[in-house]
Amino acid sequence: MANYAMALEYQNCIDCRACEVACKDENEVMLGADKQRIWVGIVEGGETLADVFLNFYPSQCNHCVDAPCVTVCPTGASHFVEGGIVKVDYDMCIICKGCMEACPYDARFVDETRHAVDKCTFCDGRIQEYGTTACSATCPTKVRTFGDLEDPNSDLVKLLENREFFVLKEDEGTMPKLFYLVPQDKEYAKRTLGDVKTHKWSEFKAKYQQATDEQKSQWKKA
Amino acid sequence: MQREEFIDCCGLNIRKVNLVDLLLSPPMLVAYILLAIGLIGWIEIYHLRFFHHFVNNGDVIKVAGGDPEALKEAGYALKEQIFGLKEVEEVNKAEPWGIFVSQYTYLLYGGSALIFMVALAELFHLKVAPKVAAALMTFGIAMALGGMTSIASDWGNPLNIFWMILNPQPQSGMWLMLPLYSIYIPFTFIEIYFLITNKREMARKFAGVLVILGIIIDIIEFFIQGILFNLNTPRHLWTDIPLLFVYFLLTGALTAVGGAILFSFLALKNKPYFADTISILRKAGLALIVLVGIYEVINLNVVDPKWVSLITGNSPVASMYWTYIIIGLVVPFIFLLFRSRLLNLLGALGIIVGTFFMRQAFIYGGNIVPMTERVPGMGPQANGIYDLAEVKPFAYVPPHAMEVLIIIGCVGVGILIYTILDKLFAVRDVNDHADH
Repeated sequence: MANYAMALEYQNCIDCRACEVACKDENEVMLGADKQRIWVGIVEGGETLADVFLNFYPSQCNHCVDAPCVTVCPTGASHFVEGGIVKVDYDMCIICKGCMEACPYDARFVDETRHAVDKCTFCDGRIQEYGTTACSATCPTKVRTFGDLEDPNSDLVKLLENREFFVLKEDEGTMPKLFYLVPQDKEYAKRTLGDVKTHKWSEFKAKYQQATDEQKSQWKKA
Repeated sequence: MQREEFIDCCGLNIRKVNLVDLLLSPPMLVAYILLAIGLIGWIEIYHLRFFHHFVNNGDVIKVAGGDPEALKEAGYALKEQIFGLKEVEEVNKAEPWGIFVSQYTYLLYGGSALIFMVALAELFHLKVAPKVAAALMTFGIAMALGGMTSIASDWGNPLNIFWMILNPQPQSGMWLMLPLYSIYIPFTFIEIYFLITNKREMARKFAGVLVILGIIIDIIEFFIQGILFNLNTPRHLWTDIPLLFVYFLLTGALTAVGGAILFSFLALKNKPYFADTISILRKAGLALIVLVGIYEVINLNVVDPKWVSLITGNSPVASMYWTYIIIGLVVPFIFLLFRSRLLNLLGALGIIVGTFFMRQAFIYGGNIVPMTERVPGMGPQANGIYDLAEVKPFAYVPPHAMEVLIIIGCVGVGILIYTILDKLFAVRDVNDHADH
């Protein structure tokens, strides 16, 4: 059974927002609204010309292995489907916003066109046909690599095995599945990453595998 | 003075009240005014949720080249969404829970704690307890129902609530509210029934069991409220406070004491046991202020420093927090030390206002550290290179005017419920001569 995740070569991002446009088109996201299913977070730093930097962090739902948004949902509207994708059943959502409070990544929003809370679904309808998400297919600089963590031959696993990465808000214990690849320029990485902990896939693999196996009984048929 | 007539129904003496007297009594008029204010907010929010124009890409494709009316509609929606989104959008991502949840916690915890304290007073055979129990429990349940009106207003799509019954989620704190309230509210009414019933023998037989069960159910209620907030893992204010349910119980009890003192001045002033009631409430208030004060000192030392620093300074929540500390704790403590009726009343008003700010500081404070601060040490992220100068180190969105109107309406709901119950069942008078 697949376990979908994404690696982000965020250093390649040029903030063109083609991913956001593709997402709005693919998933019929409400127009005019900023920062809904996917977005690009921006952090600047440095004080002199020698050390100034601007980091773009393309982001979306982390489809956490242990997703707090699923735990808190009182109606079961938030649930896991095959592939470990976290989804919302719009017909069951009461918009109590508990999931929005529980999500450490600000990944959920109220979609007024659907009268429900919504979020990224890893384009779960699309990946069966095209093998990847709309945002990763559209990106002109190949920031996103979507794939199956349980397939050792996938581009995603190969990338994770060869590069160091970090995850967002690791201390919250949610086991997020967006892996941000550490820039290959060590000096630049050191200067622009703050206090983030970096990891290798060999350290993470067993932990993620075990947690995923424990959760699989909850995954519903897509 | 006209002699009052009663109808006996299931052991209850129901007062025969003239409909005009019932509907046009002064407390009912106050309730109507507050409800009318709330109604403006409810209508506006209903309109905002269900009748505003929103459009997605699919809609644009559907109307392109088609019906001119549909095109006009899509154009209008786009204009609204692009240029007026801040006004149109009801729920802000940075702060999903706001003043509705503050009001819910304020009224519900205050009301539940009042019921809890009355049960404790009964258990320990306090002299005035049997005389005031029915009135104060009715006041407490009216507060709780006002709070529940507030949370019902917060839900964007309450029509789907039946899924809570069809698809139980016992791991969710919010789902646990369903079985809890299904038991809690009828149980409280049963307690009140036994307090005001004229079947004295039966009431006496069940009194002890009911009181103990009531205390247990109240503690379970606060425990589940603690779980509800504890499950929000990234909001460290809500997860770091030790034994959150005890904190809720103590702070709720403080609101309850303030409310009970004000209630006594308004509704029990002519009773012979008024002085005793105020004296007990005054001492309870002093003890609770000390306990809550100790809790706050502990909280400042154990809660994530990022939250503490923003709540105590450097954010708009700081003014709520310090208003609570000064008006809700320090000033009432001084005023309740004296036996002066006026100072006691002012102290109670301070507690009522101050603990409302405390609930605000708790709810808005939970959200105050921006979730956009994703990479440690890098600060919050902007959402556009043109926004960089706008990035704030805190997340705070003040409540809309309509939200404020609705919470005023919720107070009206509480007053309305209490007044009807009081008029029909004479909860203030029925046990004037009752003793343990």
